[in-house]
Amino acid sequence: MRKTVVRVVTLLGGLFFVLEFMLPAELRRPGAEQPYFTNPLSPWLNLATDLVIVLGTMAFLLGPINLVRSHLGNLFRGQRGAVESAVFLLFLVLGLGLAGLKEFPDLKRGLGLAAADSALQSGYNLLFYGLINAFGATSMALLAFYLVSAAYRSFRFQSLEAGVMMITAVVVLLGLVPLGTFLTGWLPTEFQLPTWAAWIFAVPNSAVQRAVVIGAFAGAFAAGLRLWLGVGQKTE
Amino acid sequence: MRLLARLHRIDRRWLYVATLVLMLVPFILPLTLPAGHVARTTRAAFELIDSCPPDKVVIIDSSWDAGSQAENRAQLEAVVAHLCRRRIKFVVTSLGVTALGPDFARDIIRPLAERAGYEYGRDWVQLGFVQGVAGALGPLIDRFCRDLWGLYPRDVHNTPVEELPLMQAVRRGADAHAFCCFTYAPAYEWISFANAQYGLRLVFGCMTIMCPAYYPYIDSGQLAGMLVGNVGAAEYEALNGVAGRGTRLGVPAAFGNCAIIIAAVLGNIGLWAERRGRRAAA
Amino acid sequence: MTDPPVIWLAAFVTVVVFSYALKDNYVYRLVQHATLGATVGVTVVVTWKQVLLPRWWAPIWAAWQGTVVDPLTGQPDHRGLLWLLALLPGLLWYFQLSKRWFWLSTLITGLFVGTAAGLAFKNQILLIMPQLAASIKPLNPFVRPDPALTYGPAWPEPGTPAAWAAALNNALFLAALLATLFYFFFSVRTDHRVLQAPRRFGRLAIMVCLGAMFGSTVMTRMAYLLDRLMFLSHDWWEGQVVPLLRFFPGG
Repeated sequence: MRKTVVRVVTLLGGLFFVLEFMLPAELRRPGAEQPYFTNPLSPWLNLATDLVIVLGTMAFLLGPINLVRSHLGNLFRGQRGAVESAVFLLFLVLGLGLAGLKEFPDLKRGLGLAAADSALQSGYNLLFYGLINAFGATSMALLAFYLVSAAYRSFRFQSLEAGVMMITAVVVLLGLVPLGTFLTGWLPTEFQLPTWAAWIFAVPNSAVQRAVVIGAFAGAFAAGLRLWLGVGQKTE
Repeated sequence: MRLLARLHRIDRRWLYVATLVLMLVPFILPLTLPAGHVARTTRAAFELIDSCPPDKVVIIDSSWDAGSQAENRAQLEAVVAHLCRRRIKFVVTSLGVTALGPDFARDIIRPLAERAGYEYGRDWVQLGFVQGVAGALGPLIDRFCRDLWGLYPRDVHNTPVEELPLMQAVRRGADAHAFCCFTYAPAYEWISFANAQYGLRLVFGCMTIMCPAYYPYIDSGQLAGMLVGNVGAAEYEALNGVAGRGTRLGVPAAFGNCAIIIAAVLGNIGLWAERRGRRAAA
Repeated sequence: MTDPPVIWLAAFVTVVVFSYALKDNYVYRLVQHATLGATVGVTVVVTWKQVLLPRWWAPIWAAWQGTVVDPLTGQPDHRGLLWLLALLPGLLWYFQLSKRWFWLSTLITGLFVGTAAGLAFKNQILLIMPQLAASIKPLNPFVRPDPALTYGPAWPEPGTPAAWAAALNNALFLAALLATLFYFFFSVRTDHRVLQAPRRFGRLAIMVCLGAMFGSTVMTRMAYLLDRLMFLSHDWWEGQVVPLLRFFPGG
């Protein structure tokens, strides 16, 4: 029974947008001023969009609640990582407070903190630019080191296919940076590395990517239809 | 041969240190390399934006944060510098990716706009962030094109859009001369909803890692142009005649790529030498 | 952002995160948890302020206060209060936190899965149909194709070497496209002698594509590292450390 209800809800969820797309915007007899059919679902598209946004966003506390539960549990049970959990909770409160006071000036005035505006802004800047921005950007930067390590350990010239892949990668790597022009700038334009790199992206890469996309389209279409109609799922 | 075989067993931490040292070299020594090639995708993006008539605006969607600022920042700087030089008016949005997008965008755009003498509300407007739901960006983009005022009733400073002079010319996203999306990987729904239904001309500014996937859409004309990472930003700056962050990162990027090539070569030499040594021992 | 405390803190955090590449350490874990907490806090506030407040709460409050007027009747319009009903499906998300009532959250999840599946039809059809059309490329170097049916740069003068190059590129494109589609076609047996060549060609084309993707990946990862090195060298070292060193004798 429950799964049937979920399947019906899934079907209804997709039905509006499928019908809105499939039905014509309007149908008009030749020479007629007024259409004899207009898409009845189009006027509701704005409301449907707003609903999708609002309902989707309402889940925004799910992640934070899970994290707070987990870290509070760590803290109160005195488990390993309790100090880290305390730091998380402290900075969560700090983030909520500083961002809240920045985004809601009325709240700042209500709490009598209007005079501390400059200090609060500095605190927010420290948190946002000094901590969040720096950590996020540097975490991604670590990937460069791991890539060097991966290239060193696994990029092996062991077959024709691997060799083709390596040579292509080298042409792209040198062609996309000024080094390619420096090394081959003395050659005619057709034989310079940047030209070859551009050709690789525009012709073979484009062809293969399109083939994959077309193949995936067929699969995604079938999978989407199955998901939407609940076909092939186990019944209770 | 034994020395060569040891190349196969270098501790990864020495590789990390060597990479760091190699990539610090261009920041210490003033090296330059010739700029040259401008990709067709970058030139197409530049010419599209450059051809904006005085009564039209360009819409920029800046949906990046710390996770992709490494390349999106230079792209946004290059395009906004171009817009300001040509006195083209623009509207900035942040649709569906990150709630921190408007803050990052404002830090880049506001100084450039102020230096160019742009007045907020008349020459440029920032509309802020709208939450998107993964897999359901389509209706959002559809509404963006049909009814921009409805999607963004207020700007990022909470001013009603009807009170902003520039917004009188942009009631629908589809009315824009061009739409530029700067994010890690611009959503395909821009192509299927904005371009296919409303004919909005699209320029994507994406991370280099994502660019191979968008080339089929350049080939089919669904995408008008594309800035490929920092390289695209450097090429755009060259076309605009103003060197910026993208150009400054060209030589260091070359060193970085060399680090990968050297690592792959060392690994292959080491493996070859080790196998040869084992065969000789056997 | 040029505030000295911000730059010093960012430099400290950058070095701490780099230290993780050598070995996981306690300071890194503390900074990691601090960042996670701060990010969650800021994101919650910004999401409420930029999405739910204007789109959900503001219409409810305005309808409650009677500040919205129906243009047809001139009377206060209380229809905004209907947005309160969105709480019913919206709160279903939070039943994921309960083992016993978890199944209620599958209703809202199912709604969004259905919505995404329904939207995927429109998205995929509008995305892929032009791709199929654009795959039909001109192959004759002696004939100028209809400009309305082609994309990209203008076709060169027919019969010239440039036209031959363009035709060859298109032929190669088509061959790679068909060979790749053929390579991934698992529904029929392809181990016949005659079918080996197209399979091999398809595999080589895929390898070229993978090489291009690897090169692109390297560019992006290196860009991340360069961004931080640029910050450390320009904003921190030249902007903060060097001026400080000038205060010391010999600086």
